[in-house]
Amino acid sequence: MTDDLIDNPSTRCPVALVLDTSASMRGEPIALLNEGANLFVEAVKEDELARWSVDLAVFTFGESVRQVLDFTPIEHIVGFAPLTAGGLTPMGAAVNLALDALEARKALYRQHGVPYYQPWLVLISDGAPTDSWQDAAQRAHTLSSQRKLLSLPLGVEGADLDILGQFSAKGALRLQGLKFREFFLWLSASLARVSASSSSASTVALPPRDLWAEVE
Amino acid sequence: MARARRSSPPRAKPRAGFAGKKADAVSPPPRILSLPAPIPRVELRGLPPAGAGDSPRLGGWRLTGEAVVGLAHRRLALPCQDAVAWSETPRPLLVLADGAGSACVSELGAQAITHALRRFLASCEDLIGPWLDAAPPDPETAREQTRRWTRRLVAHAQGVLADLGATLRRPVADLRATLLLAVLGQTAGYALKIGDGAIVVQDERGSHVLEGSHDGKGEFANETVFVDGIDSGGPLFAAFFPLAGVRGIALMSDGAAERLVAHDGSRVASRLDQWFESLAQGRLGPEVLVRAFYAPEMLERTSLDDRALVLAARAPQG
Repeated sequence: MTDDLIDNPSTRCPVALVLDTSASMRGEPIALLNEGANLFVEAVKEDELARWSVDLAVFTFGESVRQVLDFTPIEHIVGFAPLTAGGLTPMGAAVNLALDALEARKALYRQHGVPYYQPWLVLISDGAPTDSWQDAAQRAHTLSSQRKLLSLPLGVEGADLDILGQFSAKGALRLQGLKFREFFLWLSASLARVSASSSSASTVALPPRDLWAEVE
Repeated sequence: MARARRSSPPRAKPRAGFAGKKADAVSPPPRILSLPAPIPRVELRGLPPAGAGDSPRLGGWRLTGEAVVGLAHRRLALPCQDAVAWSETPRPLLVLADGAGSACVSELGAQAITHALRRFLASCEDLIGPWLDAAPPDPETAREQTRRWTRRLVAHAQGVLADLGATLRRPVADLRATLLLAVLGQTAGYALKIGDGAIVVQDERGSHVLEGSHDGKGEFANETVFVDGIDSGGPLFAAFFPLAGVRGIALMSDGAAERLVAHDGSRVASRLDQWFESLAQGRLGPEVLVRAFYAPEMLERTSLDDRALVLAARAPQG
């Protein structure tokens, strides 16, 4: 960068992955989820725009609700320690924690004059919440309907899609089998498109979902 | 002085009439076969060119501009959705529009708006002269004049898009675009901004964003407003501003602003100062802007959006 130009901060896209690590995810599901999440990070880093744009945070719900990764520029993420499965499904608390973190992240962007795209909430579960989830669902649904959040609930086999669908104004999608790899590659491609959208784009056409989503 | 010999219009030769009638050598030729006489040319000597009104030509300003397709659009085989138009006479006019990325033929809307508004403003010279060349009016009059011109320009721009939409049998949303515009006079200038992008002025303070013009985005970086989505009351920016001490003014799309203006509007790249100076000296043309827009340092860590810039500059006065 030459000093006769302005070095503006890249426009950010905060992404919160909220992942089910309850006991029902043991075995192949959690293994493929781990693989998919790592693949996602590498795929985003390969995109020349998204690598500067995506700030990723990861939340899990199982034995407890945890923020395993605070918002971090994806360029700085080397990889994830494997997640382990166990416990119940406290989905409501996890989503509330993620929404709080997204709000805080946006406030930080505003404070530092960093432009940002619509935040993403990606919620993946194979079951139904075991805690009080209605308030969190209503919160996510409202933000989604106001176009202030792109909420993407994704049900793995066994998930209660009716409940998951209440976390978004656009309902939930069901993963074909355990195609986490295909889903995360789609997520990476979608964020690449968002990162390339200019201020006059207003809407972004995302790639087709037929490789991983069941027919709605 | 020799006078040009006036030639008579050629007359048709007598020919046979219809239904095999024999031609009558003494009857006048049928009028239906006569070639039309040339339409007398009306000389407009002594009258100003159309739209020039009584305003004197405003010297000293030089203008240039360019719009280039961004690499992100190039990869998708999309055209450049930014458009610029400008003219130096009868006074400096700068117009720029940025077609919406989500609208399928927004490049047509952007081109239509820029060219139509330049022509419209040039045709209003008899009204603009008293407005921008005279001594500044009292603040309330200035506000009313600004409101009136803003209503007029917004209505015209929206009408252009509506007409084009009707011609193409497409909704206006397919043509939507932002708009930046500036008109310069002897004493004052007028600027209009609908949507994002930047208006930069160079004066004794150096180059800076025109006061109040910075906003234009929604909460999210890929949200803005467009010409078709507003009423004349807003959300838009319109300003009547004194030109004393102003040596340059630039309009740019958000793609160009990525490397030329700080996101918060607090700083302007010194590259613009160099360009204003070069332009005032007649050394800046579109080719310099094209080379700059595709230079690696202008592309790195940007959205690779289309880039457009139109600017006017004059040598320091007095």
